[in-house]
Amino acid sequence: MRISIIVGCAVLLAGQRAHAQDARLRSALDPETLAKVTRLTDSARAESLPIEPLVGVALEGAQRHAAGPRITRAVQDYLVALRGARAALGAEASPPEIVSGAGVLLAGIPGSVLKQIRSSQPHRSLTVPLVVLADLLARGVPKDTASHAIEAATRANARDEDFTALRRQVEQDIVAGASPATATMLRVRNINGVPAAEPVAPLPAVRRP
Amino acid sequence: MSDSADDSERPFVRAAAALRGAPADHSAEIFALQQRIRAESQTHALGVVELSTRRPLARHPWWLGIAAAVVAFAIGIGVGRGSDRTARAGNSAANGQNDRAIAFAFVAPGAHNVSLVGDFNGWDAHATPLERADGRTTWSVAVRLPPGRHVYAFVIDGVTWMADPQGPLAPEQWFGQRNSVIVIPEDRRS
Repeated sequence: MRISIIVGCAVLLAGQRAHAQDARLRSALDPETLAKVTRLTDSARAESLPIEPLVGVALEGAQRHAAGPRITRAVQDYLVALRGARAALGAEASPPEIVSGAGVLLAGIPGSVLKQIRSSQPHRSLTVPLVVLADLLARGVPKDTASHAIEAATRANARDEDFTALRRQVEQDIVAGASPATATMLRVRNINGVPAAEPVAPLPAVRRP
Repeated sequence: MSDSADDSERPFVRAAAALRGAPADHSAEIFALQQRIRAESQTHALGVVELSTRRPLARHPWWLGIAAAVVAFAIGIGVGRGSDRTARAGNSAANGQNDRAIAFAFVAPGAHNVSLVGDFNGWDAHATPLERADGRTTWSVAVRLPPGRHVYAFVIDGVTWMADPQGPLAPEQWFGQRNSVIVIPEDRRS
């Protein structure tokens, strides 16, 4: 009896949430785009993937006055990335991990790298490490260097604060003129537990003025 | 373009070789950076937190010299640094028990209005306006955010979208411009 009530409440809440999402999309999208995006969010819901990021992309596109087909394509690409991230990070991955992992995949890192990072830390949240990995890539750190650095730090049990500091320091080094790759290589070796002599990545090319 | 290049290509091959220059010597750059890391580690040992300026806003010359937007209490990824201020009305973030109040700030002396947009308020540029925090250049607002990864940006004067120069960048650029990311600590996996 109690279980039935709990299940009933859960279904009711899920229904209300879906209705709220629909209302937001309805007010922002044209009917054709709405229909396509709703199909995609329904697929995500059926696969138990996070839906809010997909709704968010659609709403962002509407607010930025993007054309309907572009919004649809963005939501579709995001859905594919979410699927790939969960496949790589495992069924136990939390929604924030899946969303962060999707961002990393969209930045061009293969799923095998996500799997490696997960295997180095099967039981801790990878949200922050993956956000930092994506940020490094966005700042021009080569894919190999960035992914090796995050993997090495994760293997060394680096804390979220260590990843946050790594990101900030690399950014400051880049602003100061260091090449993104060199900054990342040296900074990650400064994290406790990352062997100083570990070849994080091949020596990168120096950025020319 | 190699030894097999015919005569017509040779000038271009020579020009390309000249442009490439001598092989890069990384040692000086690496040494300089190592020195900087050592110096910083001494500074941090004293508990000094540096809030330095960030990359220039080159595409918006009237903001050159502003230096930076600041995510107060949420520097970097905001892990564990949220303030406990009451959230402003106007954002649609859920008010769950695990929500954290996060203060956002943005330095824009020439702006007439600044607002915060993100996945937590439906990217609505009217939902979460910032107020001038110091009466002049710094705009700020506090919002309650549930745990997780949130994507956000600032909208200046209702038209110009900008990522937070202090925050991590989101990798996805669905509509041509990057946003920023903030992570509110989630419940740890067992």
